[in-house]
Amino acid sequence: MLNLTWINWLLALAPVLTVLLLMLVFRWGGSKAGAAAWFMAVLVALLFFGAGPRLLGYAQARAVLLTLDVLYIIWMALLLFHVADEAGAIEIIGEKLPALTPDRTIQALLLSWVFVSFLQGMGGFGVPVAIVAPLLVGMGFTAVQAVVMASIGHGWAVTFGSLGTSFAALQATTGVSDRVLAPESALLLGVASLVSGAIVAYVAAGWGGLRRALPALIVLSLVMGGVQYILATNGLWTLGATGGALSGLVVGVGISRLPFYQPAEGAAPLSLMGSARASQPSLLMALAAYGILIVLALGVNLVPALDMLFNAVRVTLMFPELATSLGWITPAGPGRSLSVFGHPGAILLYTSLIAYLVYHRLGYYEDGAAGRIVAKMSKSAVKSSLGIAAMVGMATTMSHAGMTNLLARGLSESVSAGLYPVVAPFIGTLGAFMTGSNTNSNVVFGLLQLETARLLGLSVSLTLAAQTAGASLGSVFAPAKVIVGSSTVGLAGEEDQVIRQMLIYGLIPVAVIALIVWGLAQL
Amino acid sequence: MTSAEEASAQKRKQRLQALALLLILGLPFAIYLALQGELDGLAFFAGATYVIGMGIALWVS
Repeated sequence: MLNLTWINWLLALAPVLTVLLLMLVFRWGGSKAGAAAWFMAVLVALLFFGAGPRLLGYAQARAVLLTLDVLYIIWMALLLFHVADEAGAIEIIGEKLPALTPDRTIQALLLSWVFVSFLQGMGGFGVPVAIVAPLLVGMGFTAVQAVVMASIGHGWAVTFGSLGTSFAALQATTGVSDRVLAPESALLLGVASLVSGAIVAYVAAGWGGLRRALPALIVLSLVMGGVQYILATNGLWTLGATGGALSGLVVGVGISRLPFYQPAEGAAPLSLMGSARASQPSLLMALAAYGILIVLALGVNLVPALDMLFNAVRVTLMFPELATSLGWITPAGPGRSLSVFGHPGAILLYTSLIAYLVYHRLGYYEDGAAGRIVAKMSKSAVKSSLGIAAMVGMATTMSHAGMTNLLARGLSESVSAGLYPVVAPFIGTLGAFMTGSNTNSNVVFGLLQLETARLLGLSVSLTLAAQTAGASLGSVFAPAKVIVGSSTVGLAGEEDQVIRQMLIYGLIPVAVIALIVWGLAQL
Repeated sequence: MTSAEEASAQKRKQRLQALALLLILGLPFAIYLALQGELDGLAFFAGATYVIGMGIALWVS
């Protein structure tokens, strides 16, 4: 095994530094920076870590199984989102919510904390901010406020959002099951939901608004965090953020009707948009697509006969033992197993097809809708898929060459076991900040955190929960995502204003999580 | 560059990205099968094409 020296440690870190440098300094996108980092990882593995072509070949095959596991969800989540969007469902939800109350802070919370998290639960990938930020500007918030609120508001919902893509990636990369990972991850993100909501209220209306919204904040964060916890710890982690935010929407509508939030002292209830559509879905029908998803996911996960039927066909590859010339061994074993018909991506596909048929039958689609749905899905999915494939390839190469282990050994020897719980969430945040994605951060740093926790004798589940919670909260202020959000409210080219504010507000929930992780580690 | 030329360049870029994704997601299976069958020449060819796929991703993204 390679000796732990500063030079070797920096060589092992080189691919990660490559991503960081290219994305932050040179402002490259995730797919381009990911590919460059993959080349760096392969070169370093070949030249300095004794990885041969055979090992590298098998590493890419293992990587593609992990990639497909994640991409299956991403592509199908985007499909469902565009099926609903093309029918006008997203527009209707965004229009109806602010019209429920004249209280400006509650309006802001409903849109940029609850609804944006619901969108993150169903789709993600920059879409929630792109949809909600223009609605907030329409309500009279400044463009910078709008992007900051919509971004910070859904930070708690990223790990269990996008149908659990990031959580699936963490499981796939570390080999640790959802049963072990879910409780602490959901607990930390539940706490983060309260902090995120409080920041949204503060940005929307200052300390006065925050004080006024406090009862709503406490109730809604308990509901959203609690439902997410229950779903995630009972095998329904794909629906964690969706279920949490959907419950938040229902309770939030009730709260907004309370007399306390009804006096007309601020803006009047708003109707934000008029639609040119001949036929529009009602709010109930707009939410129907997501209702179908919940029913199908619950059925497949909770009914044993359906579970067996849908998960009968699984695909995987067997891998031999692989060793570098320096003696780092990756044991023989199966790669990531994919359930073709019971995978969360498959459930999303069934939901999309049913929802499309229902909306089509009710006349919500204009001519050529199917083509537009597929085109929009492909356009948004290809580039992010390239980024994920490249970064998963990089992370797998690093772990097969012993580079991740060397990084972990370096960290465990330079940071004490007492301090590491505070550092762990910030590593997740750093990964998400530089790659623009909770998923990519989990892929790049998941194994590193796992091995460091083992070497330091810390709880693996708590350390990985800290990783994904930090990444979830950090992903929302990554430059890549800020650029998308800013472009929708006329701030293209002026993203630095947003990033400066996001760094201040975005790091607060991460610091709170770091303190909680430290406290839990002392128990 | 006119808007028509820009649209055409954008379309070409998207096609190249799709090609890169196909190569990156498809070729590892060919590499795996070739390595399992001890067909080193085929594995090398598939590996080299995979590297080209990653190069396209780097170039066009």
